[in-house]
Amino acid sequence: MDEFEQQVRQYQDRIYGFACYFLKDDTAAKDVTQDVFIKYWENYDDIDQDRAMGWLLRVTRNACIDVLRKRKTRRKSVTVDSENLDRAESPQPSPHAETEASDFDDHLNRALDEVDEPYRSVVVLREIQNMKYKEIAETLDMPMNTVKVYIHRGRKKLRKQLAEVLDHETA
Amino acid sequence: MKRPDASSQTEWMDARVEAYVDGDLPDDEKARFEQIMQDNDYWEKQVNQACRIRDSLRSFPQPTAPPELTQRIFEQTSRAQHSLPWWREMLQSVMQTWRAVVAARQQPVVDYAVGLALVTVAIFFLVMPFDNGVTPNGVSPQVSSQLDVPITAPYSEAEVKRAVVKTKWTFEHVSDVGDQTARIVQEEVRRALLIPSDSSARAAASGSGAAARPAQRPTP
Repeated sequence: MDEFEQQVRQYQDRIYGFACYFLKDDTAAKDVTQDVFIKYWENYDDIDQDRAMGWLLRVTRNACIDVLRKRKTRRKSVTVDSENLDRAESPQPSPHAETEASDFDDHLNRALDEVDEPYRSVVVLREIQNMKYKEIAETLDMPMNTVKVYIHRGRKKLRKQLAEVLDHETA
Repeated sequence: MKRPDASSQTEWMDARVEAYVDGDLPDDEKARFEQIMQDNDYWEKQVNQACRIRDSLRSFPQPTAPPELTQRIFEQTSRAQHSLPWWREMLQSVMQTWRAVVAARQQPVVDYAVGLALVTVAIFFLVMPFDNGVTPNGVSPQVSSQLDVPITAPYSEAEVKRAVVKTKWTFEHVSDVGDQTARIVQEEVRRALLIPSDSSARAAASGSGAAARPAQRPTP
């Protein structure tokens, strides 16, 4: 149990951080993080401890995708008025909202929300979580070159979405 | 025909802006990219925008898991731990120790074979009847002498003596195997403590790569 506790303290910030940026919802991120570590505990003996981080991130990503899928299904089945629809599609701001985030960071955060998988995961893992290409490749089970290509494509999508904002800033 | 060339050149350049910013372009492509960029301000603007996006992403703070979340995780897992029966907890800790020893020795096939042999002998040891003075029909000599009806044993004295010899031989064999295994485990643990393992060497090698990334993040 001591070794498990040590690993929870070592990995929880990264898992929680990834879930936060993926889901843009603190409460959902906490639930996902808890579920992931409970699953880790249940499968503890079967997991290679050298690759625990990759296992945890993979399970977190899958859990986050499930949450987003359920959200979309719920939105389709619930009738909402058009006034609230835009708000529903712009979920809570990122966890650092209490600090004064610049307008551009806000726009960037929203634009990141529009980036599809797997580009979103690789961009978050690389640019926000500061993981190495090799670690991301092992986590997502893809070749390293594919990771690089996906990161570039993900950021290109952000550049296209933010073109107007960036042009306005330059002007 | 300039338009198709211009269009394909635009596509070519657009697909390489982020790779150029990250320094991931091969030398020949990088040279071509820079030449086109020199002749056209638009691409310099795209490169600046790509840099802006990358740097902003890298400045996003790392959220910290709140203490109540950690507490919830420990409560849930502790509850699961305490709900296990005592024999399962013991088995879990034996398995964890065994896995650690096997990992240190790096000879899993031999170790699992030895483990299987030990388990087989232990089961044999548990199944074989003890020579504790109880007759095969389950009644001790002291009790049987008090009974009115005399009890006759189904086995002859010679058969009982043979069974005793066989049991003693089994005990000696288990003891020898145990001694041998203990010696092997001792040597391997000693060796593991003196020589660094592959995993710690790999960790040391991978840790050196982290210094290459520029430290752009503000401390929270």
